Amino acid sequence: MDERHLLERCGKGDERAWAELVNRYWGLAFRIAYRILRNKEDAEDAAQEAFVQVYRSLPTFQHRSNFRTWFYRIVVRVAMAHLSSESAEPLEESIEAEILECAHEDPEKIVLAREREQILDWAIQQLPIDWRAVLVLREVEGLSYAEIAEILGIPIGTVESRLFRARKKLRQILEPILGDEWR
Amino acid sequence: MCEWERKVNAYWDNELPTEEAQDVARHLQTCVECQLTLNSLRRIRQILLQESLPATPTAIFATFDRLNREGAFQVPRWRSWLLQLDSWLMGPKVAFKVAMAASLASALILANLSAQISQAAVKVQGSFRHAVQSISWEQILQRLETFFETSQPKRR
Repeated sequence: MDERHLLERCGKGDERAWAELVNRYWGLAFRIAYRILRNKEDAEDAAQEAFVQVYRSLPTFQHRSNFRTWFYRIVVRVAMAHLSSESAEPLEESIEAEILECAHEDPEKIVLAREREQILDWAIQQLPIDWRAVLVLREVEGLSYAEIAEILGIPIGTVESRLFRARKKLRQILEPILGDEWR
Repeated sequence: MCEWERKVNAYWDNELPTEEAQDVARHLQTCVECQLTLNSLRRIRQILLQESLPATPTAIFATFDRLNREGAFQVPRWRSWLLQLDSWLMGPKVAFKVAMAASLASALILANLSAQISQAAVKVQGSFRHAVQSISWEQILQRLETFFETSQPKRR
């Protein structure tokens, strides 16, 4: 079934059409939400909330525009709102400084103490939420600056600036910790 | 920091016009700092793409439940009652609810049986009344006459 037909049937309250829509987009919603929120339960909640938002906004969806882009916008905004409401704060500056200091002193110990993915997880959590969203949409989903700008409702220059800062910060954190593995 | 650093980012993202991209490519051949930047950009993307995610949870039913509460589905009334009964039964204190449902079912069966018995009684009563009503007075008198005639002792 093509997407337009599917969305029209969803709009008419067709349960099977909803099942098809959820099946098609559930994985994508969870993946994006998880990469932004860095927590499985929160990501699951956000993905569910995204589908509820899709239902509420479906009457205003213009079938001329791309559903995938529209869906990205909903998921990213729900995830960002979720994190703000959770008031999840990044690790304190002092802890970050401590880890970076340890990394300079003995990088191998840090690498041995933590798995590489835990380090990445921690590093991403140091980024502000709006930087994370831009980073995920560009690096993982492969979207262009213009698409990201449309999804987040910000100018292209802001996308470029947030992406630049996010990468620079990640490099600052990861390069000394990962050492040779970085190169 | 090299002043080309931002442009190297845009170059890596294929977001530069052709001429500017060619300029950056030429600059990269000579600037070690920008080469390291480009390498780190490559590494960041690689790490993010290789990151393993937790298994996608199968929360489809929970999603459907939320959509249903929002009114996304046009469910027939009888079906929504069944769903409500189902969710009530499957809620907390299941044993108590199952016992309640079993008692209710037994009561319904008994009520049905007694209704059948009373229906049968009404039917018998109706047939009797019909039989009585269908006989005319003439027929009754004729039968009584015949009865008395046959019951009298025969004269010799």
